[in-house]
Amino acid sequence: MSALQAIALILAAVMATLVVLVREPKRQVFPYMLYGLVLSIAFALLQAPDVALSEMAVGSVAVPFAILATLVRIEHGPPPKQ
Amino acid sequence: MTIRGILAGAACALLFVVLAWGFHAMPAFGHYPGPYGAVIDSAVAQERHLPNAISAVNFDYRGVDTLGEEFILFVAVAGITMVLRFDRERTTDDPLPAKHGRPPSMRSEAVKLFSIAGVGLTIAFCTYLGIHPHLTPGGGFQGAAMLAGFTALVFVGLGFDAFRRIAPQSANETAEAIGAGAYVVIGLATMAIAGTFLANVLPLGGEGEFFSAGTIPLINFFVGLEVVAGFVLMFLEFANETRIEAPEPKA
Repeated sequence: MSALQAIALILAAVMATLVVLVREPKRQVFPYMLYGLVLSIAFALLQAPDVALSEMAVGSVAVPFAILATLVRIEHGPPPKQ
Repeated sequence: MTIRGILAGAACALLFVVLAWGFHAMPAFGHYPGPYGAVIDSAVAQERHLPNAISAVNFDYRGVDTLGEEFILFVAVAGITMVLRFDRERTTDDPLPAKHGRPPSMRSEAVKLFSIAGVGLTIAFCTYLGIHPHLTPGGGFQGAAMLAGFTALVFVGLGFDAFRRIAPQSANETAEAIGAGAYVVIGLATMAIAGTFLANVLPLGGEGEFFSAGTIPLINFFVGLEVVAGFVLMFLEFANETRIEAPEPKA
């Protein structure tokens, strides 16, 4: 294991812990996005660029988008009538 | 100590034992023990004329699995759409989304600038990724999933109205259906020609050329179409849920 790989894996563990420690959902989304980014860097360093790209798209864009939209909906109630 | 604490401690101890047991028997870091990786690595250049073995595995050697995975996404998006539209219909008497979102003034200039600056770059890079599955890392799923991110950028930077204009619902529904259906049609067509489902019947071409590797780039294109439309539809459904009453137009 190279030093870079070790650093990326340790960073992933740190970010994952951070995601769990932030208890407020709205704030939790942002460490979660960074966690996705760190994970995709780790995948890239482990010579899995395909997985890294998928993780970046799903972990850093799609899932946070869905979570944020859901939180807005919970806070503001159902969308208005036409 | 509470019962809850004792149970948690016991569960953690058990998990630790099982993990230690599992890690103990694992192959050393970076030492892949299976035979398939080496077989594919040595055979793929002669058999399929492409440098990216991962795409050959995904869209050819185990093409049926990828078909299943594509339909997992298809069903997931259809499920999200049905549940959210049913709910909206019940609460608003309107299955289709309304026109207006939250007022655009709620964004800072910096957010607008960075979102819009990212749009062109995202489109160019992700389209490149998406249509070169056989030559470079990435491919239909990765390129398309990230490409859908550009519509999310528009939503973040310009707001709901602009997002709705660049992501028309009916076009995305059609694209998703075509992408999912075309994979099956290609499979049936190759079965009619060669007798095997998803047999690679097209000319393989020269390794490293854009038109090479037979059916792999073709299947990849339709997977990408399905994925980009699926993700955009998902974003659209979730974004529709965040609408608030449009502000009164100033007289």
